[in-house]
Amino acid sequence: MAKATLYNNVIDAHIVDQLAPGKFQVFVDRQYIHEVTSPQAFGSLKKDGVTEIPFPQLNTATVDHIVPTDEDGRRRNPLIASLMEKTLEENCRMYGIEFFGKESGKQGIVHIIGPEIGLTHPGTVIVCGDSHTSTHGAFGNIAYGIGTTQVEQVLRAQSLAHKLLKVRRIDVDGTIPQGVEPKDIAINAIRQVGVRNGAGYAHEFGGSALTNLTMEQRMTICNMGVEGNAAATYFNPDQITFDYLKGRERVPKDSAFDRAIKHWISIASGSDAQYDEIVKLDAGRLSPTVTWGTNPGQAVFIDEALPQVDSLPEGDRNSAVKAYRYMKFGAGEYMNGKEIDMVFLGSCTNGRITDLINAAAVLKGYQIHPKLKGKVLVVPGSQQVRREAEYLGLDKIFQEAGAEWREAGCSMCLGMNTDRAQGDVLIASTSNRNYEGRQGDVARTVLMSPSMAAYAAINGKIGDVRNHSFNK
Amino acid sequence: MIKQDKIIRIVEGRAMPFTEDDVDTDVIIPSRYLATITWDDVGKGLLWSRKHSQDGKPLENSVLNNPSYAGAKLLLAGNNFGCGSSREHAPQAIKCHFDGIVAISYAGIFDGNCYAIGLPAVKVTPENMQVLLRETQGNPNTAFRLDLEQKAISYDGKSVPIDINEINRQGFLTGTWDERDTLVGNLPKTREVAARSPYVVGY
Repeated sequence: MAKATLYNNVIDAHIVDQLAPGKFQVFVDRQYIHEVTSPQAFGSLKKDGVTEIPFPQLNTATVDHIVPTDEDGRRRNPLIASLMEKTLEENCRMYGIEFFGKESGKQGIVHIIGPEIGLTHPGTVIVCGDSHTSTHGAFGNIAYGIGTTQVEQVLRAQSLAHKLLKVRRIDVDGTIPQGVEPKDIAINAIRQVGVRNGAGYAHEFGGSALTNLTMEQRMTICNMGVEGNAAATYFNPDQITFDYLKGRERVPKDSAFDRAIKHWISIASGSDAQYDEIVKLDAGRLSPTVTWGTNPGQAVFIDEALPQVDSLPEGDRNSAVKAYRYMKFGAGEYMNGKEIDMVFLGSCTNGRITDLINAAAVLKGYQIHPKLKGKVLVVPGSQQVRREAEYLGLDKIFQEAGAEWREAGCSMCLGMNTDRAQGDVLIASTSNRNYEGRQGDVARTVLMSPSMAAYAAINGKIGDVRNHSFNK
Repeated sequence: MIKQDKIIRIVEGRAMPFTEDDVDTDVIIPSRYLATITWDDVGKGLLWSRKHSQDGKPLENSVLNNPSYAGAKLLLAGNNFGCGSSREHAPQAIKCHFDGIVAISYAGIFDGNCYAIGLPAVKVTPENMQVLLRETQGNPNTAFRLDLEQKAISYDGKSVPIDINEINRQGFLTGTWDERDTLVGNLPKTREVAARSPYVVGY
């Protein structure tokens, strides 16, 4: 088993009790809550007559999954959506949990607002009823998604049963080529490790290529960790982490901040860290990457032909056949040049300010392809991201290009509100899942980075953003 | 600390052969069935796209609609079953129709959710999955018996071994898979850990 890694250090410090060999009750420092995976948990508390929870202050809630992102969506959203929002707000009031509703100015995708407010710290255990909780691992903590029954357990006991994980170090070395973004690194890490092989592992990212990544870039990589089945994904905290946290609303100030930094440094993987497995990825050989199939591991470089089924590992062939059938693509074809019908820029993967800056840089001075009018959605990940983007004038760049500038939420990433593709359309999407039916009942999703998606919006087809002429 | 009323030792019934690999929880239950504040109707969304055509009509050639398998209690599945979203609606929807899952492998959050709601999810090797498939496809009326104590699935006088995490197996056999009481029972210890958590006390 791994030793002296951040994973070991954090879990050791959170053990409440041993429940079985290799299974521990661990304390949860922060639970994030949203409207879709929590109502049944609160319902169970109420059914049992539980009127108080032990640590309300360690739980934080917002609405993101089903909230409408424009006026039209508000009009057309079914009643159940507002009922779900209202239910969460009432549950939070009843149990004394802080709730960031739409009037708060701080609402947004739960994995974007937590770091933004400064509630996500290194060295903590963080959970949420959402698989992309892995995002928070960018700060150097153990963060993972749970089901609703476990949400209820955390409400009742601020702790969870945790089976010990193995730790896989993923070293990304070399120089990241121009045009390659964290999204590309994340997808290629999944290709390298295997889309199923994260099961039972925490993934620790590091290596010379990632040393200078910003926190937002690290969040994109950790966000996608769960797409390779990793139980948790993290970076070790460093000066970039501390600089990001400093001055944020819920981060301690002055001498407490200095003490916090000492603690955060102490929980990082040591020079004596031992890993169960080490994987190397050469950043220098990467190109902008797009998915062709129906899981995020089914991906190619933009200039790479789609694989022959027989060339894939035996265990991946059935899914490849299934994916080709659904996506209506064939082996030997290229993604470069495929006509698209919609573009989605947003999500907890790529809905932060850096992502919008990158997309806007591509769109500046350009128009989206005429056939995509009304079909290019730009959805900031939070109300704060939206304000920041407007302060920088990005909203004007998007709108002048002909794109829709929306309000914060998960939107078309999972298509639970009215932001959902109709019919058999191909979508260039910066989100995290290209699953069958996810963005529309028969919609087909191609995952890519924000700049690649913006480039596709201009051309009406998938292309190589390295060929783009940027306007200053 | 055995909880008699929650012990799960045996699942008996016919077996539904649904063997796609990498079935994500969006396929197990589409997001529109997540627009609810109860579990009441989640069963209706189970594998919707595998049971219906694009215009919502039942697919006649879907094994899931084959009357020979109606009422099957075991769901046979492929590799990496339940990947993707953490939505517990997925195992809850399965539990509305089935009492146990047999797959080649599972995704982690899904596996944890199955345990948390008392739905046995066991593994067999790819070879043994082929054996089980041949059996139920050859005769949909084959009665299978998943025995967690014996760690085997038996049918027609034959049996294949199953793999299940030993801690989970004990949890089912002792009825302690519902961990709420255990976790709450440790609240005094949890408060001690909280009191020394730098995050909680402000460093």
